[in-house]
Amino acid sequence: MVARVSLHAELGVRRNGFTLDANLDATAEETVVLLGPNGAGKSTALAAIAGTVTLTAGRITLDGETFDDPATKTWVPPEQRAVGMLFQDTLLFPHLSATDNVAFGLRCRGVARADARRRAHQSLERVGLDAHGQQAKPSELSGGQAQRVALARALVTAPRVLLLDEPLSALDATTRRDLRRDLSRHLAAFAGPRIVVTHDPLEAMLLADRLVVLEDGVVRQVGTPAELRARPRTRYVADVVGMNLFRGRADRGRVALAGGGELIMAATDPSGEVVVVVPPRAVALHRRQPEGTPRNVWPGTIEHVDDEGDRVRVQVTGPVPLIAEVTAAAVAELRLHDRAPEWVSVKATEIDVFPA
Amino acid sequence: MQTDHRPGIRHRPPPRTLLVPAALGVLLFVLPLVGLLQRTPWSSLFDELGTSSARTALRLSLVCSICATVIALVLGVPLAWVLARVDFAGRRLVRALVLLPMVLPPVVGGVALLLAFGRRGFAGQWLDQWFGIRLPFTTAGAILAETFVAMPFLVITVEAALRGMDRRYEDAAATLGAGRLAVFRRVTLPLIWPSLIAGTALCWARALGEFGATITFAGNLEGKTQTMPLAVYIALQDQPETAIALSVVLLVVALTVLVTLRERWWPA
Repeated sequence: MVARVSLHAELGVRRNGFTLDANLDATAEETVVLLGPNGAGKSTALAAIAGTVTLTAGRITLDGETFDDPATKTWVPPEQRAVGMLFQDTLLFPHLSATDNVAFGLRCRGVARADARRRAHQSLERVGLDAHGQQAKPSELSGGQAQRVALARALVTAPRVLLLDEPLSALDATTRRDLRRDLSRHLAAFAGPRIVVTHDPLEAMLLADRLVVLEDGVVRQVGTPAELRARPRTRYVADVVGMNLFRGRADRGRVALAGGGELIMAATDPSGEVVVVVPPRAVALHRRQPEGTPRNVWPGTIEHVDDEGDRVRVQVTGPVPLIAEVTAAAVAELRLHDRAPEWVSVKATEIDVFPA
Repeated sequence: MQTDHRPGIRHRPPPRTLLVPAALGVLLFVLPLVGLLQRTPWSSLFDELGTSSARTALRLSLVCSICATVIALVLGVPLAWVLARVDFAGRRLVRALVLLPMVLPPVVGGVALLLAFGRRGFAGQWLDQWFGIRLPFTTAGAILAETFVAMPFLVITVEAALRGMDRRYEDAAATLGAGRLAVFRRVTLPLIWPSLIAGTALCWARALGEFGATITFAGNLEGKTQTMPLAVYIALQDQPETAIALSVVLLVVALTVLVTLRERWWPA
């Protein structure tokens, strides 16, 4: 079955010397992550879909309804688009309590005050804000609480599309982890297309059904996280998504990976469900079984060698499939080629483990 | 190692060549205040303010300045919004025109108002023929003169606040379904509220103290156009006690406005 394209955006925006020229499609069933370096045009793309920036060329449609089409001079103002938007710095209205912030959208749609506040309370409970926090002004909330309020505010009006602009970037590591987990739950439960903008590759990998990589206002690559990881087409993609990512269960310094195999960590915590990141540079290849410090050692087979000039990415299969990044000199020295048997080692100290 | 003592430079006494003129400058402001307060008939202050001409001037001043402030709010806030948010050719020219009364001698403003809205003025003739409205030497004229002089203070304050606020709050409100008027009323206005209050207070204080444009355009008719500053000027000839009492009232009002604005104008 071919999924029905729900959001279809050909985004042409030209302003202040910057040009965005990117196509973005999202079905109602998926979370699309827009990934790119700062200044790539990610936020502009979201703003165009939300309607706070107008297109100079292209077309935006949602379920066949045209939002913006300069060719036919069609433009629907943001307040009539029914999009829910989340901002990095929350943009909660500082003069309103958390509850009134959430009730705002309902009040704008003519919902009576008491009813709006009741629904705001329910929505705030769903994102996990207690009664005390509900009465607080945004300045009295922590960063994580404020973003939860912003999420409730965006969801309560039942928008058709959810747009999230760097929703976790302003938070500290612990809060970010907690909120990311809740956010992926809310995203999965949402009944329309979700578009998340981020420059954080881990966030992108964990939230995305599909990734769209934007650089200099142009789409460089589209694919699932696995596809991008296996075949990065640009230097940026290789750098940010070309890392090895596993889910697993940690116990006393050992991680049993969800896809089979085991990794040894340098420390005994965390434990429980974890995400493991192995940078390709931390993966070493050897012709013979190595001796000495690396404890994560196993035999593997070279699946694919990808020469990027000054560095080479090597896909290795084995108990734990990995991507290794080695120098061109090492390729020659090790005489690496497809299907060649090798020994793979990973230093425990270079593995990053996060509680999932 | 003399450079090690650099932070200590701050503790050196300031040079006398700067201190002396600075102290003289302060005296320039303080001495007139002392003069006024020292001659104030404190025991009979309320009797002086209770005389019929003083009471008339007080009431008229209050009515005129409040009316002028309301007109300034109704016209000035939208004007500030347009100047801050709408990109149109000639915006700089319009802003300069709006702010001109702040630097224009008020008496020149009065002459200009007279030439435009006077009985022979082009706008005045039109108002007279079509609506039977005559502004010169009427209370309405006094209000117009005060609005002309005071409104720029409101416009400039509100415009600066509108330019300075984070417009993405308005974007967020729009994505939540707020139309443009709702955004303005429920988000923009609350966000610029402190500046709106400050601008209103400044505008009202300026209207209350208006003298030159009022006396030139609206004349000096007791009960109709003789506001407090005009009454002070007239009373100084033969009832100096009344003049002083009214002056003290205006001084107290000015000080109150200053205190209201303290957060904004002299933070810490």
